[in-house]
Amino acid sequence: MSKTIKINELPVRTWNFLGVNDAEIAWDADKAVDLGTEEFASAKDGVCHRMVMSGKEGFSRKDVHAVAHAGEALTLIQWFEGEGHLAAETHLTLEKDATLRLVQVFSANEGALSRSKVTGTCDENARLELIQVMLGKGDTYVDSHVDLNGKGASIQTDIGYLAQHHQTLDMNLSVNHFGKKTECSINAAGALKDGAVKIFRGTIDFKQGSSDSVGNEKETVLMLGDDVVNKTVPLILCAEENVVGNHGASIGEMDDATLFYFESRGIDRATAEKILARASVERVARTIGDVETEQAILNELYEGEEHDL
Amino acid sequence: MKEKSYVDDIDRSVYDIRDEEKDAYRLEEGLTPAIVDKLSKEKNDPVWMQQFRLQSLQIYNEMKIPDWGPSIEGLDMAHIATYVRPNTKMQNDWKNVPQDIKDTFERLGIPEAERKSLAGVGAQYDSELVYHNVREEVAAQGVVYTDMESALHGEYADMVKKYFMKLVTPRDHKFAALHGAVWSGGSFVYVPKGVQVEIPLQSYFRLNAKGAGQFEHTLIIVDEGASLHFIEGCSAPKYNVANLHAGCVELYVKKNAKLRYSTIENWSKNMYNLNTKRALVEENGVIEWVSGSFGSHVGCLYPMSVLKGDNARMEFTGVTFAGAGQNLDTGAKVVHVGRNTSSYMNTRSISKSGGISTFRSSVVVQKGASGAKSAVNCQSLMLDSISRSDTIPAMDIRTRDAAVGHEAKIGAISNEAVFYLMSRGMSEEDARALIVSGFADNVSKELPLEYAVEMNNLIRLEMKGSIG
Amino acid sequence: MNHKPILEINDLHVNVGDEKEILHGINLTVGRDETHVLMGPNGTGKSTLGYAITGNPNYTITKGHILFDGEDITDLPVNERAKKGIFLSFQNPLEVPGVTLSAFIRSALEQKTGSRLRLWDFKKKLKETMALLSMDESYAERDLNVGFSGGEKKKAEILQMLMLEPKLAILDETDSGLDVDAVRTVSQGVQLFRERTHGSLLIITHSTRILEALTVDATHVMEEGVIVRNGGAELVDEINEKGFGSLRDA
Repeated sequence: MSKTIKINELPVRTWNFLGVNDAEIAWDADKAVDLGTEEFASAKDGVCHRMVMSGKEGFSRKDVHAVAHAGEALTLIQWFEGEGHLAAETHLTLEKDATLRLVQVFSANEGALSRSKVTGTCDENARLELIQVMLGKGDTYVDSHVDLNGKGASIQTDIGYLAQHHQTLDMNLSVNHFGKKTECSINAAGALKDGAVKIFRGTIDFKQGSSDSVGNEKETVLMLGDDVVNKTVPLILCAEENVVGNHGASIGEMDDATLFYFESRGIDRATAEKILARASVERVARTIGDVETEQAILNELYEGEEHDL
Repeated sequence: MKEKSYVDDIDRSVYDIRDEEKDAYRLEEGLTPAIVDKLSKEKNDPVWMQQFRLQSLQIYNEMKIPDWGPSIEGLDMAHIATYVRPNTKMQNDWKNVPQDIKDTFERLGIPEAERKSLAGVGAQYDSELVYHNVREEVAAQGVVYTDMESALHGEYADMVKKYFMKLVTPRDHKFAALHGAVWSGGSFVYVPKGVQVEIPLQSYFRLNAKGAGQFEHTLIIVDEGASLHFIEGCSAPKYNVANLHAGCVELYVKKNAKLRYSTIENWSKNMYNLNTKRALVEENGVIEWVSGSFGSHVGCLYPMSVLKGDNARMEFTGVTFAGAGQNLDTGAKVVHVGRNTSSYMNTRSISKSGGISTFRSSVVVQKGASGAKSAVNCQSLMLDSISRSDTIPAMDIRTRDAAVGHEAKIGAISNEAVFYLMSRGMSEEDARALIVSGFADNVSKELPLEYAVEMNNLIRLEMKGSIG
Repeated sequence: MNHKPILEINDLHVNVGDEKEILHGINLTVGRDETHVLMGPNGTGKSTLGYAITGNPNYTITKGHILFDGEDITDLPVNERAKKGIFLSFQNPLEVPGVTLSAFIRSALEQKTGSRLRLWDFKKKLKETMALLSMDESYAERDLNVGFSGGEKKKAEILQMLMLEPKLAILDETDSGLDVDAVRTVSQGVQLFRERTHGSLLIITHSTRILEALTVDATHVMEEGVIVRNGGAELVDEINEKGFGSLRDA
């Protein structure tokens, strides 16, 4: 009997029949190999670190601590790959006026399982950029919690995915607005095909005292098969009067206007769908600002196909 | 033309006048097989119903309280009287209704509304209907509108047996099971094929007894090609102990039929309103829910529509106003089963003076429901920083060829708008009340004029004293 | 076959959706290597005609025929028409996140030719053409129309036209909302299209700024879903001076 654990819990529960309150996965923490802790720090003129996150056979776990000191900048790029079941925890600390960009690319092998838990705290005017790219291989569970503590702290999240090959892509993201004038922008977009199952839980939580804060969340899902499952759970929790929260979600196949535009240029539906299936990943890849990583993502995305940049 | 409002002005005291429980029959508090059995005998149930109640009780005892939603810790079933029968038989003439009960309904404007703008009225007082009447011309069309108890024994007994708690089964959740065990009162409506009922029917539920529960069952069948507008109203005087409302509404909308179900809920603020409403919509059928939630201490209300037939449609328009001491968890559920089905939810929530309002929704598009369209638009207004407003929607989409949209917005009253209105001579309180009424006009626009006026009065009442 | 006009429209009736008829029997012929102008007040159906020729599925042809290059294309799907050489410059070009302008044009060209393009040749031509339109090279690798200004969107449409080299290009209000410089650039691009490829043009406009550098072969005036007047280049000047009102008596 393999052990199971519950992860990716929704901050506020809803109907159980929907199966969105949490995710249950097979995981044996006792058998997990500890791959240790790595630490990273910012530099005055910014610095970029690249990490390969590769699990050993069976279960393994790894911790990462990254600190962006006052007024400094740090980019951390984590590339998840390999065969094993890896649980990574990344703890981010952003001091006053610091900028931290965390890029996570999920590209494990078929049959592998990647878990990423990210926690972050942002002091005054600190800015966190969280970029997550899921390349459609291996089951992937991401769980991110960010506290915007200081006045003027902000987070921008860009998530792009292509879910395919009966994979499970389970995402849970929550942003807690504690400080005044904090800002959060969540943008998740992707395509589902080949029996993929995807859940996105996105929570914007305006705590009491977070006045003049703004939170925006947008999700776009392109459905490319009748055998796919899409679950979208966008929460806005609010205990403060003077805030603005918006959420928009759009789920479905390609809309008529897009199809017409492609077809008016001679591109048929099947080709347009193929192009759009990758579009969300490509869009997010271009925001990374690291040519090497961008190139590597595109290589994976077009694996086995001729593709020139 | 619609009649001008009969509810010209409203003040809370109208709802709060309590009647003495004169000569009423009250079943002992709590919930045991013996009590349920006694209730069943009192109500002269057919055998199947007697068994159904006991089975439901068993399910109730097996099931857990939901692990989501507002806390209902303050509700102690051991202290709820499940059955309180007023000292009267059901009448079809207000003259024969006991004076105190009649006075209560007069104050609520029910007999007057019946004369002016309704096709039929049912009035429930605690656990039983005290009045039921339907206009002759409507009855002549073959429309059946009666209390559930009469329906169980009369001409439509088989139909009741066929449909009763088949859509909302006792296994649905703990309070559905409770309802199955102790239900009493409510209305049965059957609209025959092709019959258009031009003016609305209304049932009004009044819970007067302290520490009691009301468990009315509403069963409506709108047959093929027929249409109906049904209005439900409810209120209770306030007590310092918990009261419970666990009603159940089952709506069957047949092929090409249309049903609009409007509710203005104004229970007192000691009420736990754990109500279950559901509609099953066949091919080309339409269900429209219009829902205003203003009362209750704790409310859980999520009308569900099962769009079974191709081209079936649902619209849900709701407003929830949570004031001091209120935790109102409202919303809607829809399941798209048939092809080319569509759903549209448009809701507003308002939180004030420490009130908690939660919008909760579920949109499920099943595999095979190709061409399904769904749009949800929910907006929340926070009137101060001691209140709470949460939005908890969920979508589960399993058809490629679906178009699902969701929009949520949360915010405060714009100071510019208040300033603008005040610059035209309005007081701040009036300006804010006007803005809130405007915010809720998605619902008031959908209600018959009289009810829209009542709703706006309720909003004005809630907004009183909101300044300083 | 070459003597046939590139576009021939006979008694075309078009509904939007299934309901309202917008065009009530249009007859219009555009010859090869010609520039035609379609003018008329707002809301008279000019864009509808553009969509009907392109094959927008929201517009239903209830009667009449469209011949392109001598072939009846009335029932042909949009992408097949495009591959045959019909191009529409959209009034409000769509934003497509994640697909670069360059990748989009390349896909369209590959669909047309049915084979992979040599990257180097494609890039070179794209770069040259962008330069002609004073477009910054970086736009090639930006997401299609996302965050483009109104002028850049229109330039991107003209760029697509120059790259795809259609036999007939319909420009739907390509000059609207642009400043003087942008109109000049777009106009130069259109001129280049005529000179290089000798493709025909159907220019829908209600201003004349875009026409200044072009030789107009014919002008058509549409009002309330019918063509009320046909003429030569002089008709443009007449409308400029007197407005559309004067035409009703003509």
